[in-house]
Amino acid sequence: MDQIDLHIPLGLSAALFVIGMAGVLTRKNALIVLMSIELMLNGVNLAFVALARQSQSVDGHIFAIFVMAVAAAEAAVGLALIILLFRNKVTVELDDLNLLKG
Amino acid sequence: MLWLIPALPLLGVVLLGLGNRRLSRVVAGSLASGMVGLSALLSFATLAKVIATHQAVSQTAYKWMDVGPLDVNIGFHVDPLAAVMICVVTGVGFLIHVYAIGYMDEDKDAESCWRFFAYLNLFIFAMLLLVMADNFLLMFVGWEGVGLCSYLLIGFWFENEAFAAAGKKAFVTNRVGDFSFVLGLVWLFWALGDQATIDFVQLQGVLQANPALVGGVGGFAVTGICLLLFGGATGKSAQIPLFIWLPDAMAGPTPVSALIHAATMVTSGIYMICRLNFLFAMSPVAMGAIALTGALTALLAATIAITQNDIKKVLAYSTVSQLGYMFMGVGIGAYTAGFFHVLTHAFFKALLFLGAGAIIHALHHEQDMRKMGGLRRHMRGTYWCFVAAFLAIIGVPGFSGFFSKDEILWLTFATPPEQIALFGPGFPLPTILWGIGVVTAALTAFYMSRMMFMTFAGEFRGHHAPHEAPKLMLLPLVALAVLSVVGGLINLPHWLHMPAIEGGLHHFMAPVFAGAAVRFDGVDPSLEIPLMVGTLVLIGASVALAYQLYVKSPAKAAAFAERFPRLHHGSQNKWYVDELYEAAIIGPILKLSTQVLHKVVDVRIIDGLVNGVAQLTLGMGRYYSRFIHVGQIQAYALAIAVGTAVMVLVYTVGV
Repeated sequence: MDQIDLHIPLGLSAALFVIGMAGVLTRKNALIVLMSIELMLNGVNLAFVALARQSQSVDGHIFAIFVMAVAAAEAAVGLALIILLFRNKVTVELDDLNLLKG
Repeated sequence: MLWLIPALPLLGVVLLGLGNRRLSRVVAGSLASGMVGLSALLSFATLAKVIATHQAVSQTAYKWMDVGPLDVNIGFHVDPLAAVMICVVTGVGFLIHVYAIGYMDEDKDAESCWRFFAYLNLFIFAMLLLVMADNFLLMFVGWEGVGLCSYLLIGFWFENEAFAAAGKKAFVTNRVGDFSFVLGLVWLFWALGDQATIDFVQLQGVLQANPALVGGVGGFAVTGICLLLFGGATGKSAQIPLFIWLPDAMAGPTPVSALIHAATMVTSGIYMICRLNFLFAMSPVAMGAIALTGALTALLAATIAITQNDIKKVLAYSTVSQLGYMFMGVGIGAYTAGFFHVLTHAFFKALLFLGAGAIIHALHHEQDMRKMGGLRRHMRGTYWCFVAAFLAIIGVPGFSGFFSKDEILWLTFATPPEQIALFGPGFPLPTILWGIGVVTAALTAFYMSRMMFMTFAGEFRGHHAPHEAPKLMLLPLVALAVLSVVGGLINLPHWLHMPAIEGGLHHFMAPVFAGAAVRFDGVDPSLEIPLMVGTLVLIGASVALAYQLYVKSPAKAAAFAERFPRLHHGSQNKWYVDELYEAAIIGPILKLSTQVLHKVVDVRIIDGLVNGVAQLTLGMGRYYSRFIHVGQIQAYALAIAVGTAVMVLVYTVGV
């Protein structure tokens, strides 16, 4: 199997991760933050599969599938949490949710 | 089988502890006596072996620790000195154990008798360690062990607060001495540098090969070391300035007073100096200080003893006084004579204490001699044993005390002044010491006669009719009486001109003291007999005076006391030494402890520091949480992201 240039997939992976992180840190809507987290996870997944292919090992592929499964579960739990949050507070704006302080 | 000698009493402690209150007085006492008895048999066998082979017996029972060049072993080395000492410890110890079975028959002690005998056995174990140890560290274990047992036994009746306090006083006073002892050991160890050893035999070799390590003969280091070690001896052996605990130690049961505070433990200071004679011989100044301290203690204690009314207090001060004699003996370099007095004193003083115990037992714990009198007719057996001890302690020719005391006095007189150069070589210190010794001998005769007459002569002045001691108590008395009478035969003086039997102990001990070159040729030897006769005349006069004052016309004694009220009160109140210490040392220390160390150093500085750190953390947390702990989840996420980024950066760039 021929070698590929790792710069392209890893660069894309880093870009996805940083875009996702920027979303997590700056967007105020909880739904969008959740979507941004998915973006970060997919950035990591891309790095996994790229490096797995480079090193001719299936470990990275397995890990990527694990991450997808966990991400699906996380999306389900996260959306459920947001629905509950909306029922209680009638908002999904993160600025209004500041109970976690001493 | 050397290790069995101390191991047997230790086994006794374990068995008594396991049996505890299930054991009755007789069972516990028999077990304890049996262990010490077996130990005594082994000790005598060891002594016989040492006599027969003229060689020390050694054994390394166990390798304790091995630190770099330093080997510390549970090792025993029984040379002639130790061989005689272990026989005294176990032999007299056995007799006193047997006696104690009879003595501890009070109902209130029935439950705790096992504890009493366990402590006694533990004491014998510790004392044997002290005596048989072949190195400083093991000796120190024994040294501390006997102090602990002394404390436990003085405070045996701890329900009585005064008794418990007496135990504490003994322990604390001994700690002062022990601290000095440790300092001496550390200094010695430090001075020896890379040749340091804690083994006595090796130490002697090192010092002989290279005396310059400790500054040579008369050097500063060796003098300091010896004085510090002697400081330890003043604590354990009740000398000025640390003698104050011994009279109070009489709070313990009388067998304890006999065993620990008369016959064995208090002589461990003298034993230590004998053991280290090669070291002490290198410092004439320290030797002079020891001899002078001994002489002054002997005199001071004797002047207190003449006015005490408590029979055990008289004996306690008498013990302090006799210990002073022993220190005078070893101080002038007459190690054998000093040790000889240790032996004879162990016999007659143990006998005196046991006799006093028999009287106290018969009078239902009455110790005041003013409430005794006339006991000669009620307690014939005790009386005759007491007479033997009395004649021995005042030094009547033929009895054991005479030989040992006379030898110390004569050798003191005959010491060349430069040998004990405390105040320079020209100062006639030996003659002064001898004078103090003779005066003390006269005082000894006086107070012992006073005690004899007050307890045994005249009419009974108490309430309960006295009864003779039971056989179990009387038999040890008789055994000790025999030893008190004939004990002097082991070291007959040379002026008897019987070369075959004279100086037995001296010849036996000679190898031990070979390292210390001492001379006793300061005066004309023909003076010995006249001086001895002079001392005897003084002693006789003292007894006669006591007879006049306490039997013939008791009114005269009271009148005499009234004519010199200051002297009388001073003596009766122990020259206010306790009060002086209280005001000069204990008071200021207490004040320093409570006012400065407690209220300032402990509360303010140490507690303040600890609490301050906690307060600071709490305050900082409260203040900064306003800015950091805002509740915005994205702020936390940002912190995590930045932190991770910094860590990754540090890891990859390797800042």
